[in-house]
Amino acid sequence: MRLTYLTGVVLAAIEAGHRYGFDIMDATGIPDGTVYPALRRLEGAGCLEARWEDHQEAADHNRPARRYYRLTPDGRALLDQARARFPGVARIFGDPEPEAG
Amino acid sequence: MGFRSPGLTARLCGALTRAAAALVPLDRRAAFRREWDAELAHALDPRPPRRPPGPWGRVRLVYRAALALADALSLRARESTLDSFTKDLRLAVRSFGRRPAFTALALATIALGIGANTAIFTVVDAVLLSPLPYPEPDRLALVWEQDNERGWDRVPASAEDFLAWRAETRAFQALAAGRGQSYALTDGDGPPEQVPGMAVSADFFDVFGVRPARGRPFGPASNVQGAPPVVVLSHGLWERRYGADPDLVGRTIRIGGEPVEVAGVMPEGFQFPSQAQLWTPLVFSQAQLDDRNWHFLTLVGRLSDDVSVEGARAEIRTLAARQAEEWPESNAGWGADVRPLHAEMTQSVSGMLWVLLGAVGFVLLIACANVANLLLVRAAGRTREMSLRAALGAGKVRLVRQLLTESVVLAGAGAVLGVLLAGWALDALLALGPLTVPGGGTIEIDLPVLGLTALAALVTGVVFGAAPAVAVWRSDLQTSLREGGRSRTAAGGHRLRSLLVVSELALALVLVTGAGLMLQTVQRLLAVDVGVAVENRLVTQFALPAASYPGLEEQTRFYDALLESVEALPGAEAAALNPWVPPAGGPQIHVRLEGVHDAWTMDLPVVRLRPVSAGYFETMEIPLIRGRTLTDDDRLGAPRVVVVDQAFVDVHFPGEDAIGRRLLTLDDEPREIVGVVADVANAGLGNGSQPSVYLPLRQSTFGAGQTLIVKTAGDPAALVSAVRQAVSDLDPDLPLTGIGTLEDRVAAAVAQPRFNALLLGLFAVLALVLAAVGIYGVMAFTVSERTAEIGVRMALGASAASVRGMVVRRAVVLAGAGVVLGVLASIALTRLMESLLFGVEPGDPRTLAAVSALLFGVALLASYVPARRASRLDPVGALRDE
Repeated sequence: MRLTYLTGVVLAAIEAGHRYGFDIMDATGIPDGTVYPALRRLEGAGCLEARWEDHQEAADHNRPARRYYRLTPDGRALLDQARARFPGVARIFGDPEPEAG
Repeated sequence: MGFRSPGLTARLCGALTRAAAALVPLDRRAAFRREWDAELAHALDPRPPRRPPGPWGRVRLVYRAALALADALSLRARESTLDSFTKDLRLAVRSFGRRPAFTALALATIALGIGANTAIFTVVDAVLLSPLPYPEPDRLALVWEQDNERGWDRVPASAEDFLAWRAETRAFQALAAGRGQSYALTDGDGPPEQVPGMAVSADFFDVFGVRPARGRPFGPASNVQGAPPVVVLSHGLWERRYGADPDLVGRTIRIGGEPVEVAGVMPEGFQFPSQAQLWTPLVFSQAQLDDRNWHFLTLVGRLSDDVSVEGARAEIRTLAARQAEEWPESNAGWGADVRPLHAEMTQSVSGMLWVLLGAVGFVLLIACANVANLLLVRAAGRTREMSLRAALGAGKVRLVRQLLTESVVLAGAGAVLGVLLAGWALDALLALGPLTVPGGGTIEIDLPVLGLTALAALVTGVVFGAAPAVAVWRSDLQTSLREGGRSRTAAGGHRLRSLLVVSELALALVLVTGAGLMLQTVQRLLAVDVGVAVENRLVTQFALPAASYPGLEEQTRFYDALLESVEALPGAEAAALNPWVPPAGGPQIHVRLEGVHDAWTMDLPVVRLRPVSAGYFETMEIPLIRGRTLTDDDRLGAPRVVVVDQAFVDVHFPGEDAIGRRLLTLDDEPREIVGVVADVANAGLGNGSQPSVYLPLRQSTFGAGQTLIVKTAGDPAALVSAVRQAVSDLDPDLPLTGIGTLEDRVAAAVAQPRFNALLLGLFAVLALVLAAVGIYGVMAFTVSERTAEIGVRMALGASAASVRGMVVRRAVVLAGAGVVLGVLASIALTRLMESLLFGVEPGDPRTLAAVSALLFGVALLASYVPARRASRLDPVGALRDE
C-alpha cells in the first residue's frame, strides 16, 4: 500500500471516530471525489475492514443500514507511519481517541 | 414546489448513483448501491435531531452523488482490465480538469441552456401537455353559443337553450350548466369572506366523473325552487376555513347570511372553474327561463363513446339552427360551438408558453453553437496531442470516440447543473408569474422531464462534439505531427466556426427582437389613458346578500350610510360606487333607443351598463362634456335619467345633441339622457372604449355586487383598516374582497405581458451574452492563430490601427451576415407572437433597426479586445515563437 498524505488523513479520520463515507468526507475536507477511491484502496490492501450497521438501529431510524469502516492492525500501523512522515496528519484530529464500535 | 421539495434532490441523487452503479463490476454492484443509498438517505433525513439540508447543502449532496462516478470507476479499475470506455471517461475527466477556465465556461453555458429549457418545459408539460386530472379527460368539452352577426364566439348559453340541448343531445352522454358567482361565507368559523364558486346543475360532477371525497353530490331534487339549500366544498376551502373538520358534512354553515347544509367535500385537486371553492345547486328563476336573450350559463359536457368533438359540434349546431327557426326573435343569427375543455382552459397562456418554449429552444441552440465553438478552438490546440496518440497507434475511430465521450461528459455535467438551476428558476417563475395548472395540481420537475433533459444533454453533447470530431476525422494527423502540431486540424474548422458564430448572432437577434416587441407592448399598455384618476384611489368590492338586503330600499339605505361614513374618515376626500371600475369590463347589455328601435331584438345596440352613485364622475375625475352629472336627487320616484359617454353619442347620435333623447334598458322604462361624459377604458386595458350608459344607483335594481372607490388625500393604503372598520360597523357579516389601490389594479392588468417581457428579456440577454462570448472566442482565436502573420506585417511597417482594422473587419463581416439572417428570421418568426402584442406590429422596422444596431455594436465590442491585443503584439517576440 502506497502511503500518501491523503490515505493518512483518511485513516486518521476513521480513527477519530468518523466511520461513514460521508462523515469522512465532511471531517477531512479533502476533495469529495477522492475519499471513496481511497477507502476502496485501503480496504483492498487490508488496512480497513467494513461492516454493515446494525439493521435494527437503522430500522429504528427508518432508513437503510449504512456501511462503516474501522482500522485493522495493518491500518493502525500505516497510520503511525503516516503520522511520522506527514506532521500534518499527526496534528489533524488532535490526540487519538479510543476507537468505538 | 420545484426545488423547495427535497424530493427532487433525492430523485436526482438516486438517478446519479444508479447511473454510476452501472459501471461497477457485477459482484460488487449491490453493495455499492446499498452503501450510497444509505449515505444519501441519512444525509437527507429531515427528522430531529437532524435538519433537512438547505439549498446549498442539497447542491453539495447532488455533487457528492455525481462523485459516486469516481467511486464506481475506482472499483472498476480494480478489475484488472480497463475497458476503453472507462479509459475514455477517465481521460475526459482528466483533460477537463487541466483546463478549468474552459471547463467552467462550457459548463456554465450548457447549464444555462439546459436549465432554462428544463424550467420552461416543466411549465409547458404541466400546463399544456399533462391531461386534466379527470377520468378520460379528452372527452370533456365546453359548449358555447355564437352570435354570428356580431362575430362573437364563446357566449354563455341561455337557460332555455341549455335545457333544449340537454334534452336532445346524443353526442354528449352528460351535459351540465354552471354559473360562476361569488359567495359570502358568514358563519362563525372565520371572518366573513367572499369566495368564488359556481352554481351548477345536478349532473355537473358526473360530467367530470369525480365524486366528493366526503359526503355526496347534490341530486336533481336540489335544482328546483324551494329545495333546501346545500353546498359542496372544495378540499382547499374545507381545510383552510374549517380546519379539515371530519364532521363538517351534514353540518350547517352560513352563506350570505342563510343557513346551508354541507352535502360533501370534493377531493383534492378538483377545481372547475379554475378558482372555484364551492358549488351550489343551480336553480333557474322564472325570469331566466322566460328570457332567451339572457346568456349566463357555462356549459360543460362529456362526449358519448365514439363521438368526436367535431361530431358533437355538428350536432349542437344542428340543434341551434332548429332553435333559431323556432325562436327567430331571440335566436336568429345564433349558432353554437363545441371546444375541447383542456384547450379552452389553457387558451389564455398557451400562446405565450409556446413562444417561451421556442425562445429557450433558441437559447439552447446558441449554447450548443457556443460550446461547439469552444471545443473546436480547444481541438485546434490539441492537434499535437491527437497526432501523438495517432502515431502511438490510436485509430481515428478511437480518437473520434474519445472526443465524443468528452463532449457527452461535459453535456451530462452541464445538465446536472442545469437541473439544479431549473429548480430555482422554476420557483422564481412561479412566484412571479400568473401561471396555474388547469384543474389544479402543481408544477414541478418530474421524472419524464428529467428524462427529456437527459436526452437533450445527450443530443447536445453529440451535436457540439461532432464538430471537433469531424475536424479530426478529416485531418491528416501524420502531417500535422511533422509540422509541429500547428493548427492545421482546424483548417476546415475555420469556416465551421464562422458559420456557428453567424448563426448564434442570427438566433440572438430573433430573441432580442421578440423581447423588444414585448417590452414595447408593456410600455404601450402602461401608457394607455384609463380616462379616470388612478392615483390616490382606494378600491374594494363587496356584494350585499339578498337575504338581508332584499330590495332597492334596503340597499340604498346601506349605500348611503356607507358613503357617508367613509367620506367622514380622516384622509378620505370623496367616495363613490360602481360595480365595474375601469379598466374592468363588465357585462354588455342591450339598449333600445326611443324612436329608433321599436322592439327588443337581438340586433339592438350593446353597451356597457353601469349603475353608479351620485358622486362617481367627480370622485373618478371623469370630465363632463355636456349636460349634467348624476345627483342624490336622481332617486326612485324622480324622473328616470341616464348619463352616456362620448363613444355612445358618436355611434348613435353622430352630429346631433343627445341630451333629451330617451333610451330603454333592462327594466324596459324610458330614461332621459341628461349628460355626456368623456370616454374611459371599459373593456380591459388596451381594448379601447365601448359605448357606456351610466344609471343612477338609486334608480337601479341591477345586481348587488359593488366596488367602493375612496379618493384619499394621501397614501390610499393608509385607509385600508379604517374602511374595513367602517364597513364592519354597518354590517359585521359583510366581507370585503380585493381591497387595494386602483393603481395596483391597473398594473395587474399588465401582469401577463410584463411576465412575458421579463422572461423573453432574460432569454434575450442570455442569448446576447452567449453570442458575444462566441464572437469574442472566434476573434481571439483568429488572432492567436495569425500571430506570426501579424508579426510579419508589423515588422514590415503595418500600423497598429491597420492591424486592429484587419481584425475588426472580419468581425464586421460575421456580424453583418448574422444580422441579415437574423432580421429575415425575425420577420418570419415574430409573426407567431402577434396575439401577445399591443400597439406594435411583429417585424416592426424601428425595433428591427434598433436591435440590429445593438447586435452589431455588441459584436464589434466583443472583437475589440482581441483586435487591441493583436495591435500590441511585439513583432520580434511573435516571430521568435515561430
